[in-house]
Amino acid sequence: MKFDKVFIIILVIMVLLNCTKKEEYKRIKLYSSSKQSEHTEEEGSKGVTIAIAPVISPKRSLILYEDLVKYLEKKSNIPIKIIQKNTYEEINNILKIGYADLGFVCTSSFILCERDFKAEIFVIPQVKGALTYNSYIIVNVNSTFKKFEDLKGKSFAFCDPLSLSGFFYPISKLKLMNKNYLSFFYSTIFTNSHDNSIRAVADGIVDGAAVDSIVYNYLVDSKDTYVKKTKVIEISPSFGIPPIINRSGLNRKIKKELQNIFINMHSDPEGYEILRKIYIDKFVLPRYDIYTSAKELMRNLE
Amino acid sequence: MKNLFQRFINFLLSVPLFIKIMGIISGFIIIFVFITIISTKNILYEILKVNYDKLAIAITQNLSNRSIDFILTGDFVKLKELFQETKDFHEEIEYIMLLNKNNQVVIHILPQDPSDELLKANYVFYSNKEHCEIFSSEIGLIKDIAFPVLEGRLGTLRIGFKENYLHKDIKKIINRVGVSILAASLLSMIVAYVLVTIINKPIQDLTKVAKAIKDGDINKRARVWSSDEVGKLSEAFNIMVDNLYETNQELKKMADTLREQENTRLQLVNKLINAYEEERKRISRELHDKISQSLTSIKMGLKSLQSLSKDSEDMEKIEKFKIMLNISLEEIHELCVDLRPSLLDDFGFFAAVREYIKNFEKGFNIKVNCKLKGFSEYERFNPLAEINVYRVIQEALSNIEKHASATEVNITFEKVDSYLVAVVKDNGCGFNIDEKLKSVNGRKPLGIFGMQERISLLGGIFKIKSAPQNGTEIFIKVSLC
Repeated sequence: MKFDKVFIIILVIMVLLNCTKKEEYKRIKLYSSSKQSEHTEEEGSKGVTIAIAPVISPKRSLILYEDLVKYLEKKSNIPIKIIQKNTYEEINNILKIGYADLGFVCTSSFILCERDFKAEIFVIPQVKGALTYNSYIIVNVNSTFKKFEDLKGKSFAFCDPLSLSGFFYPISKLKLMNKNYLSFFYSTIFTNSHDNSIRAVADGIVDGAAVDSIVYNYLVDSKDTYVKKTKVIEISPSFGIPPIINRSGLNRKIKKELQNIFINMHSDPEGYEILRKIYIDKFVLPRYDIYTSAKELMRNLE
Repeated sequence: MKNLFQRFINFLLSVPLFIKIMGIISGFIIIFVFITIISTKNILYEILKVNYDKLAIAITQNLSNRSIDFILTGDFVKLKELFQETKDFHEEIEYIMLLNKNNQVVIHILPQDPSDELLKANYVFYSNKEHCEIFSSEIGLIKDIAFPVLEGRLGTLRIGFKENYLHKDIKKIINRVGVSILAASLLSMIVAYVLVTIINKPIQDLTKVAKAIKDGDINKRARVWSSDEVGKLSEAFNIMVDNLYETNQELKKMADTLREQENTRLQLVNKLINAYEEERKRISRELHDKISQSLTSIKMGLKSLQSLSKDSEDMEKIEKFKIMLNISLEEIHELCVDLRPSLLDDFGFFAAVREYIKNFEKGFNIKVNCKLKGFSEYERFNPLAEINVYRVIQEALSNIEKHASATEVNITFEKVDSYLVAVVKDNGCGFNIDEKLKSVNGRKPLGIFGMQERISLLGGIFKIKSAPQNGTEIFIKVSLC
């Protein structure tokens, strides 16, 4: 009888324990009748705005350039904002309408902007002692393609319709062969950035791609997992390195001040460290002669 | 409470064995189902909650990573589209918000605008780790996950997951599991029913046979279904019934013999009493007709002798003889009445009883009240009954005089249908009947047994009721025919 009672009590306790597991939570009213405005930041606000072309993906660009921006802010005491867009053209337009003061652009974009709205070279980065760069034709490391012509009838990735290394160079090559990319390749895609093109080749999404040598080498040095799965089968002639440009109407004083900071960055230990991280030796004053070959190439395409 | 519990236990004990066994099985199945469902629910909740939480975090992380490029390129239209698609795909999501570093809404997918309370409800502590917060709201429990976008550079992504969604899933699973368990339980019950029926059948048969035997059908035998305990019980039961049958037969024989002996004995007693009464009657008549007549003749002779005698001494002697003779005549008369009251034969039972009472009162100074109900004073009935009841009344009054120390006796004779019901009640000291009826030195108290014997001879009822200090009551019921 005693055992029975103990059994019943244990059973009841078990059931109660199972049933009474209920926690109390803070109560919150989710919605409000008062309108909450969405705080998307407007372009062209106070300070200096830098537009960064999607040479590499926006996330990488931000990580790469945020220390530089902070350094500039600290040195100049001017608030600096970054704008990124999906295409080179959008960046060009932003610079054209004056929403951005400085632009990290591709060589071809500079040529178009200079022609279009008289954009000026602000500073030129020197990478591995050179002021030039190339376009690399890359394929998957396991593929048997030896040269660009082998990619006929295959899939190909361009970076952006305004990219010199990622579009104009392979197009000019095809023009010399009297071909256009729509008929030469079985299919083409625009990846919007060179790192995306490298990834597309590495993943086998496309058979080949044309990419920026600076981005490619940077990823090789960074031991990027995708770049390891690719190989370069062709290197273009040298072109003037993508410069940093400014819109023609930029305040001269600010331009001078910022230019000085850029030019002297490599002499400052902090600045040097930042430059080292972003794969740049130093910034040099504008030189227009290094862009002759690129301008020639683009003129031929017209 | 205890009484109620006891009644409940008694009720449980009184239900048939079949229902008891089925009740136990059903009870265990119900407890099993109940505990299984509750445990399953809790285990499911724990397992699914972990997965659900992981999924929620994965969704938030994934959405955060996918948002980066849209935020960086300012493509908020596409970002909102991405949020909307994510919300549409995951029904458990209540809202998605992107907050900037100042905790202001950049973009949100909410049915209405978020409240300040909601904006402040959760935030990230570390730049690379999500933070969860659970709170209740107007639509139920919400699990809010805050995730730093690009390590917090681009603000915080907040997704609210409906916690009751998990409960809905669990409910669905429990419903399915419940149906399966119930189906299994039902099947078990059916199997149990069949098995219990098989087990219970021999017991039921045994019970039926036992009941039939109880009702007198001693020829019934239990069927032995199996060689298990119940089978052995049935065998043992059958052997027991066989033995019982034999014993019963022997007892019947003995009873018949006894009955015969009793009849013989009663006949003998009857003859004995009749002979005894006849003898008393004869002696009484002899005494009355011969001795009394002789003595009366002597008395007449003495009377004539007295008239002839002149001697006063002789006269005196004759007178003394006459007195002695009168006393003897009186004694003979009393003896005659005592032996066989002629009133009984001539005027019936009641006249004889009244005469006896009159003499009794006179002799012993005890008041006796006699009442007749439904009888006329000179009503006659079965002579055998008359003499025997008379003798019983005589014995009763004699006992009262000898032992009761009573001052008053009430006697009632009542006619009930064709029966005489007589009650003799005194106010004496009474006695312990059990002790009185015990044999003393191997002899039984003849008075009471004599009365009993006479009444049983008439096929009547004799009862005696007494207790110390409470008087004694004798009850007699005999047929008048």
